[in-house]
Amino acid sequence: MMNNIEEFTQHRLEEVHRYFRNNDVQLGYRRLLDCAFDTNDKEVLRKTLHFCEFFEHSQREDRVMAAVSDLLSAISQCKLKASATSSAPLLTLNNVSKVYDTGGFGLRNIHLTLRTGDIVGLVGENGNGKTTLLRIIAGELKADTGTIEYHFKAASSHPYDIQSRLIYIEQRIPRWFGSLTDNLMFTLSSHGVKGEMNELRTALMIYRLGLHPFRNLTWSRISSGYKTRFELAKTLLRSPDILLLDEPLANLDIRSQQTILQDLQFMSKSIHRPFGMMLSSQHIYEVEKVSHSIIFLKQGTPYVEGGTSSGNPTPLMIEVESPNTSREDLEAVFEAHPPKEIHYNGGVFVLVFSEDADSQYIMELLAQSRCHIRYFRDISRSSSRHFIQ
Amino acid sequence: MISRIQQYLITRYPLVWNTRLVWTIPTLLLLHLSFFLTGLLEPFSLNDLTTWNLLNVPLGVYLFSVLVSALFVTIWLVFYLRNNPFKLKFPLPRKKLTLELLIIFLHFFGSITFFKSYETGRVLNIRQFTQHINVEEEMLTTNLAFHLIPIKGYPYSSRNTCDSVAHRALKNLEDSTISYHYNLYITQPFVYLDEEMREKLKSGVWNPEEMDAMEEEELEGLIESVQEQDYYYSSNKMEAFNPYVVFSFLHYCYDELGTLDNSSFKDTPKKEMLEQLHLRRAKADRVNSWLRNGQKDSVMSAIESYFQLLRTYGYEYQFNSEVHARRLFSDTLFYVKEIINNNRPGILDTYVDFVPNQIETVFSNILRSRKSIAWSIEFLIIVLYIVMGFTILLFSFRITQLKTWFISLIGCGIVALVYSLIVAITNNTSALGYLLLVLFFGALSAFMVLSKMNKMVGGVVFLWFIYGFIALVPVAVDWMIEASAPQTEYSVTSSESVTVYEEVAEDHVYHPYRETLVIPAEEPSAEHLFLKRNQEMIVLLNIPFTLLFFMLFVIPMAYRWQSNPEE
Repeated sequence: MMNNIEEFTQHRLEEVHRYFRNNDVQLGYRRLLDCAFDTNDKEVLRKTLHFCEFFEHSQREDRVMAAVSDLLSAISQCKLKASATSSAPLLTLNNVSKVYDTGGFGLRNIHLTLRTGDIVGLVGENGNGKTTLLRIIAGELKADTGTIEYHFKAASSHPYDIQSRLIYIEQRIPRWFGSLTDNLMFTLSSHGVKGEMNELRTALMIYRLGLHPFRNLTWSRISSGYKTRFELAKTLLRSPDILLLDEPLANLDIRSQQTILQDLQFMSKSIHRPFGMMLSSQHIYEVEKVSHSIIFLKQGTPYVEGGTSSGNPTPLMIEVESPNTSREDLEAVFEAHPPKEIHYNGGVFVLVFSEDADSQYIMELLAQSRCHIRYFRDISRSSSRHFIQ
Repeated sequence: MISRIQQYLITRYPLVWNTRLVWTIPTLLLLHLSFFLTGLLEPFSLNDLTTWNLLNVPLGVYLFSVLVSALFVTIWLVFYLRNNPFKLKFPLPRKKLTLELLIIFLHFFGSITFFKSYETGRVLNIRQFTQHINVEEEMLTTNLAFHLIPIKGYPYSSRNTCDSVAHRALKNLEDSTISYHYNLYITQPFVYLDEEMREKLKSGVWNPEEMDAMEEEELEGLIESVQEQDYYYSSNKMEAFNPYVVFSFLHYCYDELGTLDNSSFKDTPKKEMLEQLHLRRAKADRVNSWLRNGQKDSVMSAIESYFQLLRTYGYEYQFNSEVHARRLFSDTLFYVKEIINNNRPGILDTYVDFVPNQIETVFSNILRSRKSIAWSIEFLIIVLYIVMGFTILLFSFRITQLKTWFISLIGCGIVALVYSLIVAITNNTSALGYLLLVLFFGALSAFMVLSKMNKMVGGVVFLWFIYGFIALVPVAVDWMIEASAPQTEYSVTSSESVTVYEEVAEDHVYHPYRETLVIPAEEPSAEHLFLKRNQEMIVLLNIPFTLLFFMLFVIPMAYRWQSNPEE
């Protein structure tokens, strides 16, 4: 986060304006709502709600742009106040281990620091300790060794108060009763946001996560994907310090996965209520895109730590999907520069080259061979490479 | 409108919204009002007043009340259990959880007492309906008339005399077939007066005409001695009562109606007892003067007024007042020569279809309706403990996980069963075991929760402690009363004399249904008496104490337990 909040805000507002101008309307709309949320100003929120109602029904681009400009102007008038220091540590895990009595599975030597605005991705095959780690952090499971320190500003030292600042969303979303809106309002008022502010924030969150058409529906009448969105809405209204998500993308379609992850990334950097986040997922590519660092767990041991841009040279690993292409065809393509290894899982080839190989060159060779390439990805720095046998 | 109210509440008062207080309180008031009005507007006739315990709530109303309570609570729970901010780890202040506990208590309290509202309406209805009746006057009419009508099988008996001379004389006649005792009716010796005894009396041992009144001081002394007797013992003596036939109208001295209630004589002020005995004697003197002065018209008028009363309330009778009066005056000693049948005899022409205590039902109903409608302390205790029990059950469900709660309930049943078996096998009925067990659960749960030991087991023991706590104080008080009571027992039979506190000189007690009668050999300690006298109040105060215990211990522990890791 930039040191100067005004400058940062101005930058974000210009960004929003640009999205609308370039016709990235949905993205602009979501970012606009984030900016409005950050003001925490009743008048701005009221205007934003009017804008949302107008935006949902308006077909005229010029009128939308005018309304956006008005709203951005109102937002820019507000003096924003940062409620948390950017990059302040929220959570520190030192040498945390846990071994289960039955089965012998254990989570070993976890070191981790989560900071405000950070997203830590947690990947690994099923049964390798992702959920266990999240539950230990959430206080649901007890670690055998190591220490967990929470550095929350507002909460008291009582474990219940700490846990109320730290929200863990299970893979299987618990059932709720009553209408979606009632639940969100209740959540917000239980967190001390009362009256009109409650109504405004709830309504805007509903718009923000695309839940408006379902606002009066109950659990049984909305799809799994929207249940996940509802849970996220509820969680975001709770303004947590740490958000722990266990497989949040499981019920979402591909577009929603990207949107939700992007939204979470934006919101974790909120000026008003930033938070740190850990999420486990099998959607490695999507998670890597938004994470600052990745923890890959294998048999409970953190196999690798660090983000996509971290340092040491690694072999070039390319994932290729090409229908009607056999292993022999590929060996022929790379006859001059043969890969060290070729793996095939029935759908995708993984080609492993030496550290000094260049992915651009590999792509060129494939293009020249006139193979029909459906999918190409450099996974050299992705934790995907650890999934290859 | 409703949705606007809902929205207002949900965004401002989440606890009120979640507990549905705004809807349930008016609903409860409406239901109570409905029950009250049903009782208040129920039609009555004078005949209905002869129904025994007319003011009591009929079984049908009880069942309906229970049904409505169950329905109300079920519907309320459907809404209330939807959200649990505590389990969701919302930042819920301790006072909010305490308020939630009180709201649960309020709901149960309001929803299990519908029948009481009906009863209140019914009492007020009867009070209104009978306000024109002068009960005192009608009781006087009954008492005066009954002095002159010896009804079969009813206490027109020798004990009902105001004559102390008779008492002394009869005491001298005592033999193995005669037992007597002091009771409330101090001047009423408990004697079977057969022909032989009559002969003894006639032969000069006692002359009914010498009837005189017991001296004031003597009377007071006797009342005092009776009242100072230990109440374990006096109540048993009352059960030994058995009526026998009186031998002369002149020494009949008993008010059938409006007399002291012998079940509560120990609580009756001495002054009041004396006043009633004087009144009783004054009425007897009045009737005796009619008899002695040959006032046949007054006698007939008294009897006629009485039968007029019977007609009013729909009782049947067949009685010739004139013939009866003639028979009455045919003997100068006014000996009782004929006993009137108290039901249709079939062949005899004289009967009264009821005995005086049946009309007492009428007066009892009227007088009860005129008493305060406030709840008795016993009823309040029963209601509050039921309410507290349900409250604890629901609240424990709210603060723990379903699995823990369910296991704790099953475990609680098993623990209770095992405990009962141990008590049965060891034949040790002392409550000390229970007290120690509950305190052990308390200490163990505190240790387990604070040291984050096995969450589920800790939770189960914690709930056992909560369930057991509500009875802790009442059981402890009971145990202390038992422990501080004088331990010596006497085995009393019909032939044995026992001195009790040296106040009552001598007594012969035989209880046909009990082989032994426990009589303390020494005066109980001050602590024992204090606990005994204040037991009800202590048991009642245990309810606010339990609520306080929840505020200060259970709720903080629940927060701690809830945040503990599972394994």
